[in-house]
Order: sequence, then C-alpha cells, then structure tokens
Amino acid sequence: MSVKTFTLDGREVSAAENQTILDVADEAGIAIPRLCHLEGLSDVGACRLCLVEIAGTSKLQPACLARPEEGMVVTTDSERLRSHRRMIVELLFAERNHVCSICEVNGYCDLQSLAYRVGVDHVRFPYQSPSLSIDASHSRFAIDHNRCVLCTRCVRVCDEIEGAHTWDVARRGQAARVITDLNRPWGESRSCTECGKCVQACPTGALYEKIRSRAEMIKSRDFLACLKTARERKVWLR
Amino acid sequence: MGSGGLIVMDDTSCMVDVARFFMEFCRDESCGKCIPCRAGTVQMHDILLKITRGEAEPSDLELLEQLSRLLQETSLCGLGQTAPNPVVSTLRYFRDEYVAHIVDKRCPAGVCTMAAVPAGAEQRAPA
Repeated sequence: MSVKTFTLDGREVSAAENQTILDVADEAGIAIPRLCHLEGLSDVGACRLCLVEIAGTSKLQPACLARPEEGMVVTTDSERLRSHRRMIVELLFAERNHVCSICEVNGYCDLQSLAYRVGVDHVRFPYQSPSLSIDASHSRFAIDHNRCVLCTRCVRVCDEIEGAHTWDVARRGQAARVITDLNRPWGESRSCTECGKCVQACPTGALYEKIRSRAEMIKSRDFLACLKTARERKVWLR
Repeated sequence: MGSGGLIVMDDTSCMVDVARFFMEFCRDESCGKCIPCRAGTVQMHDILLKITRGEAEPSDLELLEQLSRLLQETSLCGLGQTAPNPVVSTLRYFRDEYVAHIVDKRCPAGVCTMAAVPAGAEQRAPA
C-alpha cells in the first residue's frame, strides 16, 4: 500500500490508498462543509460545498472525490471558498420552501447546521416559493418535496445499501424531483421494503417518519458505518 | 454557444436581452445535479429578466457578477461553468447598456418592453 504525503491547511498529513481529501481531513479534525456526502455511500460531488483549492491549479476540486497526490498543497478554507459556500447554501434556501420553525427535524437538520456554519444570516435572492407536493401515501413515512435539496442520498442508500432502488430522480434542472418506482405514489411502490434507510439518510425534513411531530426527529446514521465495516471487512460491530 | 457558430448582431439587438436569452437556454438545459447550476441559472435569469423589465436596482448587477463567478468556478460540468459567459462578456463590452436599463430605465436598442416602467418615466435624467 502506497502512502501519499501532502499538505492540508498548512499541516503535513498522509493518506492511505483509496482515501479522498475529505477522508484525510476528517481524520485530521478539519471539518470541510458537505451536504451530498454521507459516510458509507458512494460520492457524487454534486453539492459543491466541499470544494477545496489545490496549489498550482485554478480549478476547485470536490474533496469528497479528489485523491491526494504526493506533495499536493490543499487549502480547505479561504475567503473565496467561504463566499462560494455561503452563496450555494443561500441558493438552496431560495430554491424551495425551507421553514425551520414547522419542520420535524428543526434543530437536527444538516441544511440548518450548514447555514449556521457557513454564516448565512440572510438570503440575497428572492425566494422562488414553488408550489410543491407532499406524498404521504406510505403508511409509515412521507416525503415533502418543499424541503428536498436533491442531494440524492436517499437514492444512493436505497440502491447501494438496501438494494431496492426504489428512489430515483425524475426530470431536470429546477423541475427535478426524487420519485419512487416509476413516479408512482410511495404507498403503492412494489420495490420499497419499508426499511426506512432513506428517511435516516435524508439531510433535511424532506423524508420523515409520520409519528414524529415538530422538532422531534433525530436521524440515526450509525447503521451505515456498521454495514460498511461488515461488508468490507466482514466484521459485525455496533 | 458551444456549437462554434457565429451570430452577427447590430445596434438593433439589446445585449441584455441577448444575455437573458442565453441564460434562459442554460436554465432549461441544466440537468439539476449540482446546486450552483440548477439554482444559479434560475436566479441569474430572473435578475436579467428584471433588468429587461426595468425593475432592477444597481445592487442586482453586483449580485449578477457574483453569481457569474460562482457558476464559473463551482459548477460540476461545462454547461454551468460556461453558462455565465454571455453575461460576463456583455458586461465587459456593453456595460453602458446594462446601466441604461437599470439607472435610466430605458433600452437603447428599443427591444426590451421595460414593462415595469410607467409611461414617460424613461425620459427622466439619470439619478
């Protein structure tokens, strides 16, 4: 196994083979903002929040996908990155209807903590306020498209971990939506195993359990790390 | 726009309206995977639309430039990275046309409807 040594925010760090810049940063205690990344799932580099600067190239690279090279100099925090991250989160808030005060995950929401983290104190863009639906046809869960950020964590956890591939993304651009089966109501889905992994993986209150009320739902993602160790190293640990 | 084709325009084309047209195209073509392109093209198009309607403020121009930089530097693929190009180059070479729309509330080429401007108001002197 070849170990690569590189500089991360002025610190000398080493990366094992197959480790991404984000993996190494997490180990080193450097928290790079992220939204579409979830430990245990494949990475898509879609949220653009974990973009980092690499010396010698003007192009920003997503830390969740970029592999460290020997001698690379990586910066995870700069004025340029802070301003980009802030604007991306503002765009998300303006895109759909995120109302924390009436949300099941208020206080435990990845998008909410991200907004605090990157310093969004107001949104410079006019809210689009789209009229979006809620599918509550499933007996235990519901999806509120108003709160969806299209991170596709539900799509990936359902396909890669549960193996059901109930979720998918339909349409494109601002019309894109996550759908169940071939855009049938969730309650009528034949492939859904009702495991609830998508609900736990969802960063916002878009996917929630029906029995919870406002600010009650703390999502649990421990099962992902557990399943990952079990599958990769054949060790069953809790 | 990516095809290598040339478009010849004279002073009867409004450069803000041209930029708005290309942004509308990119907004409709965005796949929606990455946030800057999916949500950024929508906001950029809305700002350009505001300018052509005579509703924009000088601060909108600043926001438009910041969004241009965001999309160029953070978009996942070439569509989002190049979507702001018509805005950036029209701002570089025809900035006076943007200013005419925003400050004087008039379209030099006579293309934009300036729907939000009351009749007669476009004649007023720049503030």
